[in-house]
Amino acid sequence: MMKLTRNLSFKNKLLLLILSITFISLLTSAITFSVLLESTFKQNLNDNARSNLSLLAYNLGPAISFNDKDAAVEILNSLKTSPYVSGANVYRVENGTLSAVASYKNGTNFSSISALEVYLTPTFDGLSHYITAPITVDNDTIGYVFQHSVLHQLNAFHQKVAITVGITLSFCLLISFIISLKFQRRLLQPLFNLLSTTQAIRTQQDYTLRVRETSHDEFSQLTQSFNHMLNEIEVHYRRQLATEDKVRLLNLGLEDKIAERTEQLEQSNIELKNTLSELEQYQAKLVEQEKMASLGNLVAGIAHEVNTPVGIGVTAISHLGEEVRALQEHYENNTLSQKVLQQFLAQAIDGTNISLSNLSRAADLISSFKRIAVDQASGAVRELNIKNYLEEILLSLRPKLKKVPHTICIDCAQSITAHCNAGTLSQIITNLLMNSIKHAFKDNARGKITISVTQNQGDIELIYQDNGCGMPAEELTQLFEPFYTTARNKGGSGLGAHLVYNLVTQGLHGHIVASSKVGEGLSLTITFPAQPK
Amino acid sequence: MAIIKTKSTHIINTIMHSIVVGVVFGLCLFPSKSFANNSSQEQLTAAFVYQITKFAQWPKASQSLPNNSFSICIFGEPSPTLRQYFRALEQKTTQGKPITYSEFMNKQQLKNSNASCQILYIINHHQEHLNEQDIINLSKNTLLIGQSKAFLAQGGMLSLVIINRKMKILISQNNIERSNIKLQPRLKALAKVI
Repeated sequence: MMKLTRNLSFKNKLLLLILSITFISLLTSAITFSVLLESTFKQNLNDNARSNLSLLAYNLGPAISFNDKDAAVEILNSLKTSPYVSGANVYRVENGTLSAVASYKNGTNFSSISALEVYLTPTFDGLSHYITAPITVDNDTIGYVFQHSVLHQLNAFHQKVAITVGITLSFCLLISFIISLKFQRRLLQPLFNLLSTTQAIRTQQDYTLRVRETSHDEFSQLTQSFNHMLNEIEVHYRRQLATEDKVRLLNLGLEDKIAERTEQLEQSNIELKNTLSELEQYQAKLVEQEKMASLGNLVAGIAHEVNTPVGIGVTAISHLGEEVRALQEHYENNTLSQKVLQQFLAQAIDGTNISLSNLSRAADLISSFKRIAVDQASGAVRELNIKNYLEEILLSLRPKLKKVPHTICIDCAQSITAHCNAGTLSQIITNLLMNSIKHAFKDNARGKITISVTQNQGDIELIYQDNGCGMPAEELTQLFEPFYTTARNKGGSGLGAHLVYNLVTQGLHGHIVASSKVGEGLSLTITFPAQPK
Repeated sequence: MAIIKTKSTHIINTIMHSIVVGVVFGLCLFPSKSFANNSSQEQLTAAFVYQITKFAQWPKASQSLPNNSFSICIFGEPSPTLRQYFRALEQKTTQGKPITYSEFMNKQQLKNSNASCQILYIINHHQEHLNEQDIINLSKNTLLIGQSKAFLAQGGMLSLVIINRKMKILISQNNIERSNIKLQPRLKALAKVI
C-alpha cells in the first residue's frame, strides 16, 4: 500500500486522502448510526413484544383464573396477527411449579423451554427473540406466558441499513470526489506554479524566474519564501559567476606564472645540470690534481731520496776524477811514486765503492719509486705481495713520514697475496696516511698507525687504524661525502676520504666501513676480493 | 367424659373444616370447570365467585365496611356443602382485603343488615323473593350473581351456569352498566355477554 501510494502524484495522493477520510468518516458514522439504529430497532421490537405480551398476559388472567384452557388457546390464537411469532406457551403456577395450560405454534421453529424466568428480560439470539411475561391477577402471579419470535424484520432491517449505508456512502464519496476534483486545481494551483517554476529554473538555469502568487494562504507564504530564497540564490549565483570569472582569470594568470616558473625551473635545472657537470669535472679535476699531487709528492720524495746517493756518487766520482788528474800529472811529470799510486788506488777503490753503493741505492730507490709511480699511473692489475707492497708504499712516502714522529706498523703475513690494482691500493694507503698525518694527530703528538691485513677465504681484510683524535658520529656519517672537510681553512679539499671510498668500491670492488669515537682514533676496515671476479 | 366428647367433636370439626378449606383453597386457585357431581359444582361456584372478585371494581361507598373487609353474601338457604365452601373463603383475601361471609334468608334480613355485600350470590329459587326494584336497588353497589340465565332477565348481573358440563359466566351488559360496579374487560372477554 505504501509502495503504491509512494508512486502516486501529490494530486492523486490528496484525492486519495480526501476520499479515504470521507470514506472512513462516513463508514464510522454509518456503523455508529447503524449500531444505534439496530439497538433502537431491537429496543422497539422488545418494547412492542413486551407490550403485546403484557396485553396478552393481562387478557389471559381470567382464563388462567377460571382455568379456561379453550379461552387461553383462543387468546393465544390472536398471535396469528403477528406472523413473526413462531410460538407461545401459557403456564399456570401450581403449588410452586409450572404446568402448561395452552400453546400456540406457528411453523416448526418453536420449541418450549423450561427456564421461563430467564426470559423475563427479553433476549435476542440471532433472529430469535425470547420473552416471558407474568400473568398477574390481583397482584398475584398466577402464570406465565412465553413467546418466541423469529424476527425476520431484523434481517430486513439489516439489509435496509446496509443498502442505505452503501448508497449514502457511494453518494457521499461521489460528491466528495466531484468536489475534490473541482477544488483540486484551485487548491494545488500555487503548488503547480511552484513546481513549474522550479523545473524551469532547473532546466534553464535562470535564477531570475519567480513564482507567481495566486492565493493568500500558506502556499502564498511558501511562494514568498521561495521567491526570497530565489533572490538569495540569484545573488549567490551572480557572486559565484563573478568569482568563477575571477578564478578563471586567476587560473589563466596562474598558468602563465606556472609556465614562467616552469621555464625558470627548467633554466635552473639546466644551470644546475651544468653546474653539476662542472662540479663533476671539477671533482674529476680535483681527483686528478690529487693524483698528480700524490705523484708529485712521490716524485719529490724520489728526487729527495735519490739526490743523496747520487750526490755522494757524484762527489765520490768527482774526487776520484781529481785523484785521476793528479795521478796523470804525477805520471806526466814523472813524479809518480809507488806511494802516490798506492794512495791513489786506495782512494780509487774507496771512491768506486762509495759510488757503486750509493748509485746502487739510488737505483733501488728509483726502481721502487718506478713501480709505485707506474702502478699509480697505469692502473694495471697484477699479482702482488701485500706486505712487500705496503712496505714499498711506506718507502715511497718516507720523505713525508720521516718529518713526523709517528710510528707506522704493518701487521701482515708474508704469504698474503692479491691479484688487484696495485696503484689503487697504493693510492688508498697513501691517502689514508696523509689524512691521518694531517688531521688525526695534534702538533707534537706521537701517534701510532697500524695497518693489519688478514685473508679470510677469498677476501682480503685490511684494517687501518690510528690512535688520533677521532671524530664525532655526525662527522663520521659524512666522512665519505665529497667536499666534506673539517680543515678547509688548512687547505683540505674534502676529497681525500671520498677518493678512498671510490677507489675501494670501484677500484678494488670492495667496501669500506669507518668507525670512530672522539679521542679514540679512527678505524677503517677495507674488504676486497683477493682475486678479481 | 362429656368434655372429652366435646373436644373430639371439635377436633373432628376442625379437621373437616381444614379439609374443606384446603379443597376450596385449591379450587380457588385452580378452579376446574368440569365437574362430576353436585358437590363439585358447588366447589366450582365458590371458586368462581372468589375469582370474580378479582376482576370487578366496586364503588368506594360500598367498601366502607368494618375491618376494611370484602363481604361475600348468599341470599337464600345454601346447601351445607356450599355454605362450607363459602365459609372457607373467609380464610382468603381479595383485593388486599380479608373476606367475610354472610347469609340472608329473606329480604327483610337483607334490608336490616348493616352488612354491605360486595357480592350477593342468590340461590336459584330465592330470587323470586326479590322484586325488580329490589334487584335494581341492590345492584347499584352489589354484584348480583345468580345461577341461571333467567336471573339476568330479572335484573341480575352475572350468572354461573353449566353449559356442556362446564361452568360458564354469563354477564348482562345492561344490568352491569346500570350499576356502579365495573367489570374488567378481560372478564367480559372470557364470559358470555348478553
